[in-house]
Amino acid sequence: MANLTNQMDCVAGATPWRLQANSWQDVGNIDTASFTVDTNGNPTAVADCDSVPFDPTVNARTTTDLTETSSGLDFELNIPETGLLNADGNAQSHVKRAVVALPAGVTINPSSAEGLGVCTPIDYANETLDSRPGAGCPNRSKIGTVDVETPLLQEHLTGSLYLAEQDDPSTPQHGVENPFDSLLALYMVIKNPKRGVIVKLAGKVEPDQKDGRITTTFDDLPQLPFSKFTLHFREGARASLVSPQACGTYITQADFVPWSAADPDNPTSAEIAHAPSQFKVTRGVGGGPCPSGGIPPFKPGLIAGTINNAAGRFSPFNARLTRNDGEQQFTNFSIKLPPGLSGKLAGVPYCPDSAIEVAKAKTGTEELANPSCPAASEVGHTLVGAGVGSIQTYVPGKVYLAGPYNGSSLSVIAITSAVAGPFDLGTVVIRQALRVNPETGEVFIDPTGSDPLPHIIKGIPTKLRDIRVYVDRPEFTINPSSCKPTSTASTVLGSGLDFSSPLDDEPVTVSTRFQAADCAALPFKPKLTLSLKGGTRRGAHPALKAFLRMNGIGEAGIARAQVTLPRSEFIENAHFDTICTRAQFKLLGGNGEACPAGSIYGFARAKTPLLDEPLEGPIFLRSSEHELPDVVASLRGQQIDVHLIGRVDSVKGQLRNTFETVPDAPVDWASFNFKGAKKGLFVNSTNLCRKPNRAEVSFDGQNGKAYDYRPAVKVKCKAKHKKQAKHKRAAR
Amino acid sequence: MGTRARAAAGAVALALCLTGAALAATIQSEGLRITALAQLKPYKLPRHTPAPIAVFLAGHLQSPSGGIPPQLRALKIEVNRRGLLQSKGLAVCRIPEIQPATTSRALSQCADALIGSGQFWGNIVLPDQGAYRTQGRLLIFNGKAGKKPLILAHIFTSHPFNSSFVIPFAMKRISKGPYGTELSASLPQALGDWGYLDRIKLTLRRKYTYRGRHLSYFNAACPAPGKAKRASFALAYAEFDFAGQRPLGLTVPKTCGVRE
Repeated sequence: MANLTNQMDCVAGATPWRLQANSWQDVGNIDTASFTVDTNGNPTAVADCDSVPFDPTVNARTTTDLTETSSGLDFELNIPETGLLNADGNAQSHVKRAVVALPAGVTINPSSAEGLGVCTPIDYANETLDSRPGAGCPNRSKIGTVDVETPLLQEHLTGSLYLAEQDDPSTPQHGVENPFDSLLALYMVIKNPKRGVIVKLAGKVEPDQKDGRITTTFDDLPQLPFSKFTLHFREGARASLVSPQACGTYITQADFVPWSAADPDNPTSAEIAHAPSQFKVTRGVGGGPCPSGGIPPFKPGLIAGTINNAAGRFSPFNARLTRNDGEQQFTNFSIKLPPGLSGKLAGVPYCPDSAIEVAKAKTGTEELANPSCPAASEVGHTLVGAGVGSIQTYVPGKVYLAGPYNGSSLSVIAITSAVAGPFDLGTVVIRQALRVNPETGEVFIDPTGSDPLPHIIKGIPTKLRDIRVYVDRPEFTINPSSCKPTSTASTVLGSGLDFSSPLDDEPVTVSTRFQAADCAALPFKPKLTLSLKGGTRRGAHPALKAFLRMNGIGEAGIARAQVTLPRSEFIENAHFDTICTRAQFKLLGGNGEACPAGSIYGFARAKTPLLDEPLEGPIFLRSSEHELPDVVASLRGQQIDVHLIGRVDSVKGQLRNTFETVPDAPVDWASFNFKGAKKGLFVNSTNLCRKPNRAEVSFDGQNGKAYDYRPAVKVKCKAKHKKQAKHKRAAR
Repeated sequence: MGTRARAAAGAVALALCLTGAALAATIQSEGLRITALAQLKPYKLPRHTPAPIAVFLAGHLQSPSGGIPPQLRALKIEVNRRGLLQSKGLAVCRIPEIQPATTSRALSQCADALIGSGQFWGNIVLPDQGAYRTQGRLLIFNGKAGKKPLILAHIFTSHPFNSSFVIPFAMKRISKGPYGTELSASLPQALGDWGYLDRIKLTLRRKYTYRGRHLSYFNAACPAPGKAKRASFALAYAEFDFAGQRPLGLTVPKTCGVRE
């Protein structure tokens, strides 16, 4: 066996041999001589690099054969040593550069972030031959071990793999955080203090921005011979990697550039040694059967409800959306709140759009330290769990009320600082269009108008598993005043087979039961005053005014309202002008903006304590599926619209209007004014002053209570007043 | 309708059935069929001097396809010159007295001016809304607007809600031709844009006493030529103006015998 091997870099030219000598005669004076030619005058430069063999082989596999599970990685690089051990043979070339691309599906595990540390450049510099473990790179940054077998030494060389500090884009200098100014980088420190050997290497890790596939590059490796290099990424719940989502055979591509290449920095493809290695994933999550292939299952879970379910009372509302490992990723979700569960928007300012844009540009740390949206607009917070297995990394966020978005007049915005362990992936800003069904008052997040959840951030698949939303602003969320069993429902869009493609996304609807309690404790006594203003004689067309007064929060809402007008009132056919069709009503925002002016027969206003401003808008006659057109009060506001739809019929010839469905919301007051005179829909069939004209009013409360009565319709009878005044004068 | 009026209407109908003299005039055009039927009682009438009569009228608008016939917008009826509408001395009803009003209220207000009664059927067709049937009572009153005589048709229905209409028929003398009186009405003004009348059944009959003389609102003579004992003649010509269609005219034939 030869004791020495030549260097293998033919490009470097004649590398001088240096001899230092110290004579006994002149101790202390060391002479140095360099030789670039041998005794025969031949240059000392190496040649015939192209005849240097280079046959690396690789064995790489995840530490688990389960699908979508936290996993380490065992990576083994073998270089034949026969040439090295044979005096007449050629040793294998040393490795100049190693590029290892893990198979698609093996990605960085978000679960690994929690508790993980980083090795700063200073820490890395402090890794010396005799530094103790942790004195250089902290133990928390250690993510793997290294073992090197070299024929030069009897014992193995061992070392550690550390996670380098993430680049901070705000620092202008190159390499302040890591040599590659990258999100991810590794430091490999191999040392043997006994032998005085220390090898320190920095490797660049590049996750694919689209699918998270990881490629690691170590360049300018030292020209040292080794026969086996073993790298082990630690396994366990917080392992660095996640195994693929489906069973199958996966191939790791490893490319090695030899120092013997004609130009090691720019090797030809023929000079690069390709050493693929395959491993198999053979079992499903938790050791279960393999997924059948194709689109993974998707069975998300939903738990939602208010902390205190007392009817008509304020209470925080929490919702939690979960999914299991091996299932499709969350792409988007809507939540439809139980009917009557609403929020008090009054007094809550919007987070301005400008602030939202600022939040998007911030790092997570900056956002945590200095939230972009004003605190006054905060309505709750979030906690999002990402990763696989039993341990996830949770990142906090805040929920704010925001203004119009994607056609909705209201939105909520969740700003999550994606700061997990040592990583700061910036902010994740998800804005969701909040819609209110104008007929039922049901509040829901519209997935079509909402931002999708990110599947991958800077090349790291998020693997969102647990999304918790806490709407806990004091006196914001208010329970329904109905105690009927209902539900919170969520339609969750799964990512399908390929989370980077929306084409195979799959919606699944899940729901969770909700029921308010103690409805009987809520009072219910709405007071409706009816008056006919204008002409009182037969044939006159009075304006009808209805004024409703309630006690707002603390009183049950109206579920159904029915008003039967006095027998005296007919419909004036000649004034029965135009009807708004349902199609017209739906145009331009869907609240009757496109209805012809002639179809407006009155004006309505309503004040709820949930909003700052009263809702108001025209009263239309709108075509319906019933025999007669509906009376529709299109109550419009800056934030929400409400459509009260009244079915018109008659009972014993008396006109009757029934609001079969009334949104469950607290009301302070409401007024409905129907036009009179030439536009009057009603005509007196008798003189209103002859006798009291009584209406019949029937209210059903959301809490099951009923309140029926027969109020006298107020009429101003001038003649009667004159008579009374006359009597009074006479009495005086 | 009072007992006497009902009895008279019943008698007319019965007489028509027994004699089989009811000749229906039908015209069909552009997807519309109009059937009109008129009967007079008595059958025998004086040759020259108009005598009191009762008139039974029925009209039916149909769409042969079975759908709702087009909306009748205007109606003009020309009555044979031998017919005489006489209202002198008869109580007059004015629109405000019967509009709005139920049938009973209209009767109580203008009973003295009543000259006929019947029923109507129709459809209410609102845009983007399913059509629904409606029917109700029809009262005919002798009316006046200013100094001009009118015939007022009062319609009341309680379905789907209490509603009343008055259709005023203007009266005009025709100086030439076979017809001597023209009655005309515009329906949308009274019925609104949504009413589609498609059937009426009506009995017109009113005798009254004025200054000791027994008079009748409806009077006719039999226009038999020469010494003929009977005659076939055009009792009336009706012209219907429908929405979206050309006006349709229909002559209502009648036969009568000469009362010597």
